[in-house]
Amino acid sequence: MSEPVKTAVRAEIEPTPLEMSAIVREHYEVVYRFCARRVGQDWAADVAQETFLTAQKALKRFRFESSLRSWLIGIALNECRSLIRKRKLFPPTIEFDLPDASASGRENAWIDRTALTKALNALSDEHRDVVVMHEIEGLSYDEIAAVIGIPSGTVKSRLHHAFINLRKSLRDEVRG
Amino acid sequence: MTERELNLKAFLDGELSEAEQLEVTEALAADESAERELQDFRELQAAFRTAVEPPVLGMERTMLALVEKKRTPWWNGVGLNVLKVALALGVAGLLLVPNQNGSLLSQLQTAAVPDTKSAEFTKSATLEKSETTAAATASTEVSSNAKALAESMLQRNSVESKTANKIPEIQGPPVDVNRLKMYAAEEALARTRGATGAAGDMAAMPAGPLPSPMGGRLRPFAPGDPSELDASRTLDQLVLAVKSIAKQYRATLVTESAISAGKGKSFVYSVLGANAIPFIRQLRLSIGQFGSVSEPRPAGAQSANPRNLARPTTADDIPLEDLEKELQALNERRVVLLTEFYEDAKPVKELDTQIDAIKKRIADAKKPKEREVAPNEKVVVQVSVMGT
Repeated sequence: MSEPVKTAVRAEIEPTPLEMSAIVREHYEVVYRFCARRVGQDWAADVAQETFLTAQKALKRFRFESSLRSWLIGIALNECRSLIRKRKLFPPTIEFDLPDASASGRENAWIDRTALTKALNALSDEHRDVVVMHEIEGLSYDEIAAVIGIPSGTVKSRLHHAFINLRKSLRDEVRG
Repeated sequence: MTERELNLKAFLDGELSEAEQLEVTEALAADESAERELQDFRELQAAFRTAVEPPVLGMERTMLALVEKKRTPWWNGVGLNVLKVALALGVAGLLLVPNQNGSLLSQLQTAAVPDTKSAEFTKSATLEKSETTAAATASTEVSSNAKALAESMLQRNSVESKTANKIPEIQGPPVDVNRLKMYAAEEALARTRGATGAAGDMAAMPAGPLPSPMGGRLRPFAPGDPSELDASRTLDQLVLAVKSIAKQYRATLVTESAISAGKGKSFVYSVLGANAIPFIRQLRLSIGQFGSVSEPRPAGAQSANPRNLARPTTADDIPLEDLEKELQALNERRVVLLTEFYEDAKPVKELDTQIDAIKKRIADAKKPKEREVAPNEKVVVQVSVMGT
């Protein structure tokens, strides 16, 4: 977080447009991609914008109990959920840059683009969320816990179970 | 799930304490399957890192939205508050200023005090205002006597209020000048119509509850007026009332017959289409429970076959626009209710019943109507009365 932003936040004043622009530059990419993976590209820009507008109003209440990034992602998650409920949206498929099953002979041939997408989609929403946040979006356990509002131990447990399920799905797929 | 299993993923992510890491490392060295599982997890992690990142769009737009000052309309910001304060001060000022000139608000205030029911006062004040407006239209025809009477009452009221406190103590029913004016105007109107059964001396008018203007009965009660009925009225008085109203609306008597072994009478009147609905309304108001009034039908169609009924048939017809407005209001209320209740909650269900009823009435109103009656066309109305 840049110094002017820190100052504004600590002074509990509404950030100036300039300070807010600094926050957007720093975090827009993460927030946008987070939204795009939940509501799709068509809605991502709108939701990201709403996230930052909400953040602008609420920033003076930010208490440094979590990182600014996870706070923003928490707002984005709420915005996404709201839109999903309103528009009855489904999470879009996540694409992986992996070879297809036809490209055999590789050491890790049991993980294939289609199979991984399928296995990820087969996970429960709770498991899928933590996997996407940790493995793809790079959030730490504590950040995930702050965003979702669950204990860190639960994140650990969910992630572990999600991986066991993924492994099983993929192995089963290979066996046919 | 074992503790080792739990720690394996966390081990991979470096989320374990040193002691836990050491424990897992030892377990992995002893267990080949655990080592294989860990390897699979590593490969899975690597696979997830190949996730395609969506192209980032809309950052400039977001920045503009944040910088842009949202312009609010003047009435939605400070302007609205200023307006509210000015309005509140104005209303408070009007209500608190002592009655100096007999202004409408002062009179309303005076009239409202004895009731001590603010809700009723507000309602009646509004109604009286509308009555006053109606009377003002007719006031061009007010007779000089009535004018003089109204003015003298106005002066008296003004003098009384000058001597009184801001909220005067009421000793008996108040004299309402607006009502007097209105009745005077109505009386003048009635005279120009050539109505009989005049209201009599205005000074003798009782100051008790007055007829509701909602019922359209604007003429004052006067002793001996046959159009005013109560439970003690006899058949003769009922007949007199009907005939009086018929004369007022220039209805011609077609037939008159006795019914129910002489306890009742039935009349068939012919009246102009333009007068039909007020005529029926007045009859219904006057007769009340002591008789019935039929729907109007064209003079040629003597039968009561519904197909012969002329439209608009009743004085109770509500315009389609009003029904649609009502439906809209109910729908809006439903939206508000749904923010608090589920769809199957009792208040919502009750509202739904009302909405269905209104929808049905709208559908009925939209059905092709029977033949309209021209204003100068004669229609026939049957009246039956039962007296003691």
